[in-house]
Amino acid sequence: MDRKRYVVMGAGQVGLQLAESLSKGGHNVTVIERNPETGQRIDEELDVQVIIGNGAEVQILESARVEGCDLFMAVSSGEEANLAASLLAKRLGALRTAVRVETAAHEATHRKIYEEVFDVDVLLSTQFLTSTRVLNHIRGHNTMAVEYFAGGKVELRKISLDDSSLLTEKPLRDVSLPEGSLVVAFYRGEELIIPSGDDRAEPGDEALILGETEVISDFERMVSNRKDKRQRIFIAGGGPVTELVALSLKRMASVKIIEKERERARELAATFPRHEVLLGDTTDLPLLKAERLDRADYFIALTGHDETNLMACLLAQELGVPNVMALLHRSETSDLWRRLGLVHVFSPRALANQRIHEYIENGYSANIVSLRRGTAQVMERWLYKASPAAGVTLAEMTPPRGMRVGVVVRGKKVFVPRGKDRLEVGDRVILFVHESELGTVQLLFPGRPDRAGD
Amino acid sequence: MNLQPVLRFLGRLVLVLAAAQIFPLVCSILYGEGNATVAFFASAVCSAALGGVLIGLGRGDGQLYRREGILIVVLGWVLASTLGALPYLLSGALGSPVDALFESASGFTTTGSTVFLDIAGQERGILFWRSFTQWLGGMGIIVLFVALLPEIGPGANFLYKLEVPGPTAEGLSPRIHDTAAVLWRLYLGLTLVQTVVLMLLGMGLYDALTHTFSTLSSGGFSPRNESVAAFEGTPAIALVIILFMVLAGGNFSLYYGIRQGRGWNLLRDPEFRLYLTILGGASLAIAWQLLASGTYEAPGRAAVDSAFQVVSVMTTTGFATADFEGWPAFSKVLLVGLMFVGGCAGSTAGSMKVMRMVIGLKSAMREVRYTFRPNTMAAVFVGGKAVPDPIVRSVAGFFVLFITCWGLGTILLTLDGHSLLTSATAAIATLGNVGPGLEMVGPVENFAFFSDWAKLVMILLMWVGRLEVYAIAALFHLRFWKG
Repeated sequence: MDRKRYVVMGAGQVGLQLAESLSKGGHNVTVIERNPETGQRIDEELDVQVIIGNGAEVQILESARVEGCDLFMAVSSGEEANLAASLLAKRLGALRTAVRVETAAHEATHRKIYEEVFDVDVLLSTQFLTSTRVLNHIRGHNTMAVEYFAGGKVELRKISLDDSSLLTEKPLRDVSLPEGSLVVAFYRGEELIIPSGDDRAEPGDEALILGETEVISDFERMVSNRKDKRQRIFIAGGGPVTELVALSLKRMASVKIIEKERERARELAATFPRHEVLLGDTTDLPLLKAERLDRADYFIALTGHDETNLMACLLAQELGVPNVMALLHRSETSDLWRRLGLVHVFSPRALANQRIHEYIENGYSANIVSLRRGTAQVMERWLYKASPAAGVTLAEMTPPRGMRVGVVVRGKKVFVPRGKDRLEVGDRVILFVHESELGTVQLLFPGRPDRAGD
Repeated sequence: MNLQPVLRFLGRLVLVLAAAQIFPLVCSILYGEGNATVAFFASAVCSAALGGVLIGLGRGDGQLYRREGILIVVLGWVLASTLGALPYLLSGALGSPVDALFESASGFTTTGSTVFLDIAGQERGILFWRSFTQWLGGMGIIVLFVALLPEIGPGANFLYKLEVPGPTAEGLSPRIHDTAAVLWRLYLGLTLVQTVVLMLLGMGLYDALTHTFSTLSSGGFSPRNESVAAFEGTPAIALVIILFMVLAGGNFSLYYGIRQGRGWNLLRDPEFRLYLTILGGASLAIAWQLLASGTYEAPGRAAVDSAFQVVSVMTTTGFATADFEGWPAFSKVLLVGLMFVGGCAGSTAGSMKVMRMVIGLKSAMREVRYTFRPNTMAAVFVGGKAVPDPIVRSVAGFFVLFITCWGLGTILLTLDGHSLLTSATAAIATLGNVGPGLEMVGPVENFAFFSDWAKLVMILLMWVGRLEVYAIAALFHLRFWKG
């Protein structure tokens, strides 16, 4: 295995886990940390090089030898410092950068600006990752997986189909799909089928659907023929993750949020006209009972305190809530929790760690989803001036059968392109590619032109 | 309290008012009316002299704070009404000083209640002044002042907010002087358009101008005894006036949006939509009753008369094309109800405003929700946006104060010995800056028969209504004068 060189800036919760896992994977890891005591502890515990200092200073970056490093990860809790450090590291010759920004990364259009201005390869937001995880779980009964593209504008979902589904009743050509969405593929056992208009699904198949986040829930409801019961969801704690989750659940669920700080509760109430915001303590049993927690479908503990989350989840379990999940900041205790019967425990830093590892394993390509162990991929590409596909209609491009341009994101518009549609510079395309056609993709949609190693 | 800047401000305001009297002066000279010419000349000279004295007294430094601002606005309106009364007295049009003050206050506050028994018999310059005071008061004399004088400085923002009606006064531009100037330019533009349209429909310049002044300010003074009914021969005139009354009762900052190419804002604005819905619904309901009860025979006439009266009353203008005193009870009650609602925030209309009604009702519904869900935290939403709690609170306070003022006013007016309906509707007609009420103060009646005492009560009500209670109520708060 060839040994890579990684630099991690900030040895907080996220950074520490990254450094540890990468170092255990046999790579050379350098950690930049401001706090000398933390730095010394890491030096003793992990097999990494530790540089004490401010990662946003050129001198420190130089002594961490960011030049030529495979990935520079700025994951401290200070967003501005992260951005500055990453920009400097790029200038000093780091091949790629990953930056942790929280609130700034929630909006797709903002992500693009950040990526371009700061020349960032991966924007990492633990809040966004966590909320995605929660949402996946809530939708999980029929949706097996959800992935987001174009910074959350486009979703890929895997759904299971039975004999009453629209897709099994009619060939694909006769099913009118919502605008901006399409059926990418069917799974039939081990087989992956890229359908043409004449194909129809068989009962027991799974379908991969891709489309604009706004319409894909409608789409799923339509093709999976599910009697949609409005889910009753309880969320404890009104932090930023709660806000993201509540925002996505606007229409499809009835949500109750418990927050103990009056000002914050007021803010949440002013943000969500449809949701119920309760002022109170998460572990206040009479309150939970009065609000009929026992009838909830989901209880999600998202407060900042692990103990409170644990306690609240146990109460909810006791009251008979079928699905209980909890946010856990100190992930090392997760086994303990599972022993208590809390299976759905997740930690933001583990999610961030997983995200970086995926990025590395996918050959430094962000926004790639591997299907069936790499036989096919769904990936996201930008169109640059130098891209051969820019300015060409789909018909002129004659994409091979193993490659499909799924959806195009142009500014605020998301659409499924047809033969006469022309791709433009600045578009984002979500591609569905069989492994045999990866070369074609590289040819038609090369990465950012001014960068090595892509 | 810093009195010096207050005096200086008032002095300059008075100078502006003195200059404003040049317009009726010119009008009197053109029509060759001796009495009025002398009266306006003398009144303008008096005003200018007073302005000079006040500025002289107010020399010296001193910062404007909130209390000074409140004092300026309230005293500014009192002074304007007082000086505006001079021409009526000096020309001999009105003999009693209280009558002159009533007519002047009714003008500046855009109320439109009158004490003239024979309007058409007055000199034209005097009637021009009557409508012109409404036009000045409609967009606001303080706003005019801020628009004309850019160098007022930081205190201007607060002055502006005290005078612009509605729970929130939004700035259209980072500088308050620019905002005020934009609003006045818009107002001038609309004035020009309406005058030209009325003239195209066959009105003379004089009638077109005076009616435009009273329409756009939602004032309601007409130089004709029959009000707008005098133009029955041209039904289009009533329709044009309906349209411009509706515009006057809408939020002017939305019209500014049209000029900026955001015209759709107007139809998306929840307050404006509700305002139009109420106008439409009430017009239909009344038209239906007028036909069903046999008051009217022709459906067209019923529709136009109903719409005109509804719009006139709800925008607190007070023009009339029909005497609704003779209409069935349901229609009259509906019209009185509309007097309480008023137009939109940021309009020239008076009374409580649609926005406050919406916020008030929704906030009450929230309280209902709290009774069975004490742990809930809920915001008051208007058009999908949360209304900040301080505004909700101020609206609730406004409701209580407004209704209290109306109740007190009614009680004081009944001391005059007139019927409850006369007293109660006279109180809301003046407090809401509407103009006409029911029975003895109905649309074809006037306010001359009240005692001086009752007239003074109503003058106070008009000021309270125009300045939306809080500014004047503050002067009656003991702590206002302490420290």
